[in-house]
Amino acid sequence: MRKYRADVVIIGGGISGLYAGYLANKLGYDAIVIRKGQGATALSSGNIDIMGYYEGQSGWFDSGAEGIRFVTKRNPTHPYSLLDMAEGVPDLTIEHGKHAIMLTDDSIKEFNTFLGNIYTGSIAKNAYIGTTLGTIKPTGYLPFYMANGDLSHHNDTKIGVVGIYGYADFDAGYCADSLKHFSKQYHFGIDEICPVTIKFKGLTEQSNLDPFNIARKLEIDEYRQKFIDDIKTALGSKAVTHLAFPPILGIDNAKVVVSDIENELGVKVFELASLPPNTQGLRLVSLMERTSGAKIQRGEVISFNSDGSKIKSVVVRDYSSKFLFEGDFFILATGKFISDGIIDTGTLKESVFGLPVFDGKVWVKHFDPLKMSERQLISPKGHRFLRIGIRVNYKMQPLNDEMNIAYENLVAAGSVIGGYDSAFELSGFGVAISTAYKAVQTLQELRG
Amino acid sequence: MQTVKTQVLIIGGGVTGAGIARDLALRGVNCVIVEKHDINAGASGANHGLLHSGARYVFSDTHSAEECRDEGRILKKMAPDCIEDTGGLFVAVAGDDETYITEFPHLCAKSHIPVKELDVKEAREMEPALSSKTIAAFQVQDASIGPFKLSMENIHQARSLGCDLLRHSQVEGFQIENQRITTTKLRNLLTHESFMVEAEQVVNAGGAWAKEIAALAGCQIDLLYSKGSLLVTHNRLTERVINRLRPSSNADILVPGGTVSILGTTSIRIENLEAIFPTTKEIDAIVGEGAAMIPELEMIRYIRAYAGVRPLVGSASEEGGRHISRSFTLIDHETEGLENFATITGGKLTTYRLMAEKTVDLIAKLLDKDVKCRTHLEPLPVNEKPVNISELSQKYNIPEIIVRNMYTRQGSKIEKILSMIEENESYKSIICTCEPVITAEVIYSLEHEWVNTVDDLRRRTRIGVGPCQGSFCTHKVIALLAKRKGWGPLKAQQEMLAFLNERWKGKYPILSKTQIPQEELTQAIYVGLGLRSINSTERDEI
Repeated sequence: MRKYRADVVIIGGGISGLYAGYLANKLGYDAIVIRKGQGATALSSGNIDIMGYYEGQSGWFDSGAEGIRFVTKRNPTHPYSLLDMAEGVPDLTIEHGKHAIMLTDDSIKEFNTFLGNIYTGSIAKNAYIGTTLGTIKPTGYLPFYMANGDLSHHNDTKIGVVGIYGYADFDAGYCADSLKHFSKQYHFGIDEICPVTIKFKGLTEQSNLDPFNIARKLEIDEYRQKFIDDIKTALGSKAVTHLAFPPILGIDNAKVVVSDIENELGVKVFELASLPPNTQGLRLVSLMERTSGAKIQRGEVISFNSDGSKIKSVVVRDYSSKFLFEGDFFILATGKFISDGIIDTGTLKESVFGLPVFDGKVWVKHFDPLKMSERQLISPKGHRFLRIGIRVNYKMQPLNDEMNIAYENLVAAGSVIGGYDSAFELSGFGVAISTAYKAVQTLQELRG
Repeated sequence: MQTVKTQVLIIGGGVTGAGIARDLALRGVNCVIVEKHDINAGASGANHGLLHSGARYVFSDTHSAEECRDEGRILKKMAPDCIEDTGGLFVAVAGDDETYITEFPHLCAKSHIPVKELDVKEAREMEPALSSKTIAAFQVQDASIGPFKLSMENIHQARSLGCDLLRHSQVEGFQIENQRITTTKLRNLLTHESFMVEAEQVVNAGGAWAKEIAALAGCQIDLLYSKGSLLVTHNRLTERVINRLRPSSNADILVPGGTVSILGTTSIRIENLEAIFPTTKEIDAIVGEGAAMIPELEMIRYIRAYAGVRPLVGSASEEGGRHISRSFTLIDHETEGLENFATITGGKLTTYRLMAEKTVDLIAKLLDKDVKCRTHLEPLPVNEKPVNISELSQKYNIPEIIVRNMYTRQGSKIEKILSMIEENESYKSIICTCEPVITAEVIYSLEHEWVNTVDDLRRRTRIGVGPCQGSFCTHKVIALLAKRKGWGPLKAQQEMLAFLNERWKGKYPILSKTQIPQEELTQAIYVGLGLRSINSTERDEI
């Protein structure tokens, strides 16, 4: 078996793994990210949710900070509550959430620097964005392709929602009606929202169009120009100030696509947050890969070696080849169920190191379906199975079932950590980014 | 108040009601079906989809066995488009009762049910999924039948002959004068409007709800409710129906249906018809038992669990209800002083046609109409002409698998459906990737098959029944429905939630390692994109 060595071995190539890779690299570590796929990040809409909702709250949180204050007061095992304990115990001299808010704010700002400041937003004020489902949701930071889409900041705007003939995932008419209804309900200052359905004549096929296909075409000048002409024709004399799109505005060159449409049509452009199949998460993963500075190795960690107190190495399999990666430090960023970070082998456990998992309150060894979920798909409490993950201390060090640090040189980040339900709270990227940031801080401390 | 007039009122839009409507229509009698929910919303839509050869009942109930034998043969001729003639096996595994195995072929022969003993090795070659512990195997003439298509085609023909179907219509009471039901009072559950039906004869084909309906007319039926739970696997495990060769018990039948297999059932006595869903205990029992025949059942991904209620006519002292005859009961309520009211209940999918025939014989007598039944002579007019699937696939440039799957659902109507693409190329777009179903079929169903909800659409097109259980298609279907139904955004959101919840009901009890990732994703999609429950102010607004 071929043997490699790195200072920091990161397992998992989603947002928390790649961000940790960047942070470690920046600190001068030789870092490698081992990944078997793109994980759930590639399926996301790319905006940074910090905290949007929590059980017991009557509506959305006005800001990520408000949400963090709310949850740190009520739930001591939530990742934000752990981040709030700067010294390992709750700091009673300052208000709840203060440390966590500061750390999260710092971590997102650093994350934004890492990606070339493509995000705008604030932990002190949530933005409200439209989605391709026709819903409106709060979020903390918007990537550039959504920057004009904070509907709470719209004033006397006229929005055209662009649909493409033959792209069945997205119905502009339905979406426009729905966004209109909800922006009225939220008292947003939008004057008009109307559908603009176009036939993208530049394409030979006019059915089964998918966002990747359209996005790749729009990165080609010639197609892009045709597309802009088609929109012009469809708009006719209709005057709009904004155009809202499904996730089709390019992948690696989305900036050019957005600015070209804006300049040619004299409107502001934004994308709606979308469900998969979706280019938005892919854009983020692709950008992170290009800028993290960490090496990326494809493969699945199938076993590990330790001396009982420290991880020594992990064995990685890529198809038929096997490699051994030795490291001084290991970061676990494998995600939850979608990416096999948590598995059920008769016993529910973390998949790489076999760490025990909890649901925010108690250890969960056996998955009893009726006790793991609510009877309603969308429950005012969220679902217990979505809170399952490993237990970490305030330094993001995984704990074993005796509540001791599992391995001295292991830290964790992202949704492999239990105790929160990211879909229900709208806290996914906020927790991923802040826990990765904290995990690398810990690593730095451990090195001394 | 609106009043509908007809010769015969049929209460219940399950397969029995549908069969009665067609039988009446073919005998020249005018009728109206009223149904509380949708076609096959009760037990007709929550069963195995098994066309029994009769062999299942040779031990316990030779009468049912012979009924199934005859009706199975008739239906294979009269409704070939609704049936996949898979054939079936009865298998015993090590530890099963030897006497049963020895007696089985003799009992089949006694009831004139064709059976062929197979060499165990031969059986395992035919069905490689069978356990290595198989000790005996017999081949029988079981088949897989599509209950929804069967009901739809019965109703379609009845309608073409003047029958009417009123869905979402619940019976609220009967007006009785001179020992006759003169008026039936109903309420439309969608519009909340009341209306009346005046009919010469009233037939209660309410299945498990027959007792409650009869009670509204002051009649009593001794009806027991037996819940049966079933599990759907994410792919098809066997070519044939596989029965366990032993006294009827839990999970002893695995029926292939299209791209999946259905395992079940249980038989559990329940007291009322509220909240019918499978319990974890039942599911564990089903999987454990099923795995004795087909070991793979222990490892496989299940995409859904559901339960139906068998109405069994019989004494209330019976345990579980396994030993009560699965034959049907036709009650002429004249004995209770009502001259124009009959109830048909019990029975099974395989015998629905016979149940309809017997019921209509009685009604014809009461109506003084001497016309004989024709449903055993005239096939259901599904396929007027043969369809060339590969030709259609080439003509419209659509993969053959899509056209073939559409054909199994729609029969020769696919020519009409596919021709919609000539007008609108975007109708070729796939809406449901699991089955798969294209836009044209969804639109066709919305426009011609009385669809009001996504769940209605599911029964007609199999939208949302595949491995993703609606995660990737619900929002697309809602957009298509909202446009055609004129739904506002809140109503559309309410319908989206209703369907997702309906799917969730069949998933959460069986949430397991193979299905959890899918549910994490579903939550990320819908909840993570800000979809929330409708609050009370919003409900009022709708």
